[in-house]
Amino acid sequence: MTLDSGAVEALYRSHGHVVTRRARTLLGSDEEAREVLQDVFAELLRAPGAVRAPGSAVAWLYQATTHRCLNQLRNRRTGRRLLDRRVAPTQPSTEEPRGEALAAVRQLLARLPGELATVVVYHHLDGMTQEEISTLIGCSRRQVGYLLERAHASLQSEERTA
Amino acid sequence: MNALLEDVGWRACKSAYRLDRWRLGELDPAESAEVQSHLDGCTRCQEAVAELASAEAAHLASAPPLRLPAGDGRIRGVGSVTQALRRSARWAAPTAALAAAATFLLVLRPGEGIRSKGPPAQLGMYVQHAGEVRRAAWGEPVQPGDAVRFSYSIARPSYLAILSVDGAGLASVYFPDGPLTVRVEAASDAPLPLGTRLDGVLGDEQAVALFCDRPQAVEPLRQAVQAAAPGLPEVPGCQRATFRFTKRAGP
Repeated sequence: MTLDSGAVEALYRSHGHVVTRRARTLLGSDEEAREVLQDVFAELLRAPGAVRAPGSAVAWLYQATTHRCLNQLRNRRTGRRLLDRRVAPTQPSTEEPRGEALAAVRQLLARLPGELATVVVYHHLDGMTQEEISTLIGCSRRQVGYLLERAHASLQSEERTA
Repeated sequence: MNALLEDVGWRACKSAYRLDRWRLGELDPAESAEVQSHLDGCTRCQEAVAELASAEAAHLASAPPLRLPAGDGRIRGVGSVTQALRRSARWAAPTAALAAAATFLLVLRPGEGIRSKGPPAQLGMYVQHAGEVRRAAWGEPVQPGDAVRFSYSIARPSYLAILSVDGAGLASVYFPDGPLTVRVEAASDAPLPLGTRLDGVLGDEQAVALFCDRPQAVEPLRQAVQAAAPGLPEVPGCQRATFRFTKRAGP
């Protein structure tokens, strides 16, 4: 299945909220969430075959959003965006009742290897079952359980050494 | 860390992913029915769905235009929907609708409705305001007293019903005027014989067209649409298309 620009545009209208909502939670910033929204759909315009089948748009958007947001968190950590943020401070999200806890989780996600951070996001922040995650990312449920266990062990180890 | 994740974790029984897919019509009929059945008795999941719907409304109200990659200077808008929450809008009396429809000048162009799964099924809308007829874009602002008329595109003969859902999740029937779905032929952007004039209730409105393989009673379809609100119903044997507009007070 290939989406023409009109179809991508329609998807932006009908599904864009999925990207923005998750990006805001993961990044804690309305401004950065809007950037992610643009980036995700710009990628779809460049690679319109990325959504492989009808009914799979949400899956692709979840993966694309998660990938970008985790990269962004890692970029923050390594300081590559530090200068930009000093020049134009990031505006915090306007709706974040669990702000402090989420900020701590973001810092921890930034330190985890990508595949571990990804399953933590899906399992804990999105509430996905291991079966849902395994279908989404294309691995076995056992592998998902293994990744989650590794993630928790890694995070507990960090807590002990903090 | 586990405690921290519990603090920020997803609280509904069904995952955000599943509820998003349900709301956006990606689940198969059996899965969709299972989610719907669960929602009927689960307050947490109902609250989660309300949050998702709120995020969607905010997106429609305030998302910036979609920027195209470098080399294409055009921008594409999210539409002109400005209401953060869907509010009720109702159809005026059929007699007024017929009178309004009779005055329409229709310019047929390719449909712009959102297509659901399967072969193309689209819903479009024309608006008559102050004597002028225009084709409505997704999220089109309209005013009380405007006459509107739907058009449809479908690849094969179908039995059609068009319903609308207000912000309170209440569904009403726009087309047909009788108790059963009405057969329509395969067509592209074909106007329906009925139009209607909008009343004074302001807010966002979502119209849902159901193109069914066989004749069906309209009332169960209306109930299915209402039960699925704010999502969209999965009706076995029916394709679905939607259209949204926003009714604002006039200047």
